[in-house]
Amino acid sequence: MNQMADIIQNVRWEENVAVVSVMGDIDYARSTGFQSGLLAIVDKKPDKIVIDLSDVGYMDSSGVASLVKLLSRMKRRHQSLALTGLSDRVRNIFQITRLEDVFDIYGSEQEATG
Amino acid sequence: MSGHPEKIIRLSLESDPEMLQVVRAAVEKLAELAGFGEHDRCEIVLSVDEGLTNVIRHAYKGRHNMPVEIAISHFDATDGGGIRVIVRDYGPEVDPGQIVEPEKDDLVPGGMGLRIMRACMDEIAYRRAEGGGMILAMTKNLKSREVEDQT
Repeated sequence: MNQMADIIQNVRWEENVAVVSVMGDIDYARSTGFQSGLLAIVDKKPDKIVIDLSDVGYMDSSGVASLVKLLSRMKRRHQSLALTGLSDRVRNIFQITRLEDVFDIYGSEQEATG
Repeated sequence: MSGHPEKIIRLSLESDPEMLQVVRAAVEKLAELAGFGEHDRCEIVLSVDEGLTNVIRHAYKGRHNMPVEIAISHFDATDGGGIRVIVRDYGPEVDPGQIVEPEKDDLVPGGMGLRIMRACMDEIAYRRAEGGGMILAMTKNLKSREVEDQT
């Protein structure tokens, strides 16, 4: 099973911005594939990655940790990261872990890519 | 005790991360039966997921074939009742006092899970299990959340 392909559903490039659609639960079982998929996109040197989480129904601390690692790597490379499409359940974990202000979270893909 | 009798699920599983989604589904349904709303169910499910993930990741160092026992009970009481979760592993014993949350800037995944469990549940405690391993016990009360929501 290609776990990475299961999670990263689509990558669309708008000039040098990668819009990444993610699907399914992101927990300890799937976070490695999630992280690997995202880090592979970082290596293509986008100015910005927008992660669309509209089709993610559940995320635990493993998923959040993957995003923290991605953000850290991107900041070192002067790239930016934006999140959009967070359900109440997914947004809740960012609030609980007090990381809501660490990430740029937008209500729509249009705002996130801007 | 009054009203409905206690409902309990006992799960005996291996430490396979693929089982997380199965456990989440069972916890979600029992929390729904217990009368918890969407937000509280989300917090209970997340806490059990984090507790089990910590067992797989830390107690069993990622090994997928080690035993884990989970008991989830809905207790009914005159003060509102709630849900109680026990996660038992057979890994190394740890001094419960050494299980601490990291600082915000030190985002250790296991520590993040502990922070989540403490934030979401009313009570959480680790203790050594008889015969080896650790027990994680967590409780969330229905009444406390209802009262909190009204304030």
